[in-house]
Amino acid sequence: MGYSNREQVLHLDDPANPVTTVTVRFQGMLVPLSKERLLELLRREQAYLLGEHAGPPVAAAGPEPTLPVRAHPPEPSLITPVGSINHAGLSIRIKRVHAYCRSLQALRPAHAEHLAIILGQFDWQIPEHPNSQLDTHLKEIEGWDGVDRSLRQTIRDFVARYASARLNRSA
Amino acid sequence: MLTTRVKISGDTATLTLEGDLDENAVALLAKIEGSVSGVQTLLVRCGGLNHINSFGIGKWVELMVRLSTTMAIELHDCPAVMIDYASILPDVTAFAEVVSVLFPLRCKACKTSSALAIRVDEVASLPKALAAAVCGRCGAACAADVDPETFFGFTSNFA
Repeated sequence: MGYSNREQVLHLDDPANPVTTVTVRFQGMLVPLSKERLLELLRREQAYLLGEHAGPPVAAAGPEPTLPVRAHPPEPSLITPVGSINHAGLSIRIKRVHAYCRSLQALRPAHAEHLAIILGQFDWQIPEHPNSQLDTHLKEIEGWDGVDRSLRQTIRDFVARYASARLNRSA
Repeated sequence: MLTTRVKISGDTATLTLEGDLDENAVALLAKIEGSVSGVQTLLVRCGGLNHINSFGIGKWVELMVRLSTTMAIELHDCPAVMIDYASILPDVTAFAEVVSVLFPLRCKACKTSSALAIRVDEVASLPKALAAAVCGRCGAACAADVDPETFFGFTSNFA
């Protein structure tokens, strides 16, 4: 989770060396925490990691900083996003497919299915100066083995609409 | 259709997957979570997987994310389709250790597809194994069906 200094072993209950405040790095910021607060956060994290209910939120005491605790497990990034996909998202996915299959000039079946889905999910919001070779990559992919007639037509239609949309935008 | 077998020995569970990982596998994937709870290590034998679609791999990643919080996961005999998906989404292999893969081959003569089982920590031996690979159907030489360097790109997690 977010407490990046836990490689260091802290003996919080060592009577010979009592610890009252610990500084942790959370989301890039150093945050001082009381020993009790840190233990509470670690307990919550453990409950979360074990998939148990984290219990009711603990109110912040006095001026002590309140750290946001993630209430749900992290969502894995989806292969194909639900709903629409923006220009950057589409571009990076096409780039990965292109890079993976470029050397043999053959589209893998999993990538063909993926490509067909994401092209249909584009939101058609094209940035003014797109820093991407999205259309160039697609034109290359179109000629590869493993691209069936249906996908080839989908790519052609997409590239034509994309060129037209960019032209209209710059006009 | 996906079929699963779970065998528990001590604190290690071995999960064998066969068939298709798609929309029809969702209920079965949910059952796996209950079957292996409490073990320290989960060995997943994936060599019997045939077809995987984007929905199925998404659900698989969700399961791996949840299980990896309480146990170490090893993937054995990962089929090429799983590694293909990992090239798009690093999460596919990020929550488990990929121990071995089925590297895809294609016969130069009859174009039959086959696979070469290889451990990820022995990938240096791949060129030699490729040079010796012959088609089980016609006996002609086989060639890699994907670029080895990009195929094993998942080992660096897109660094």
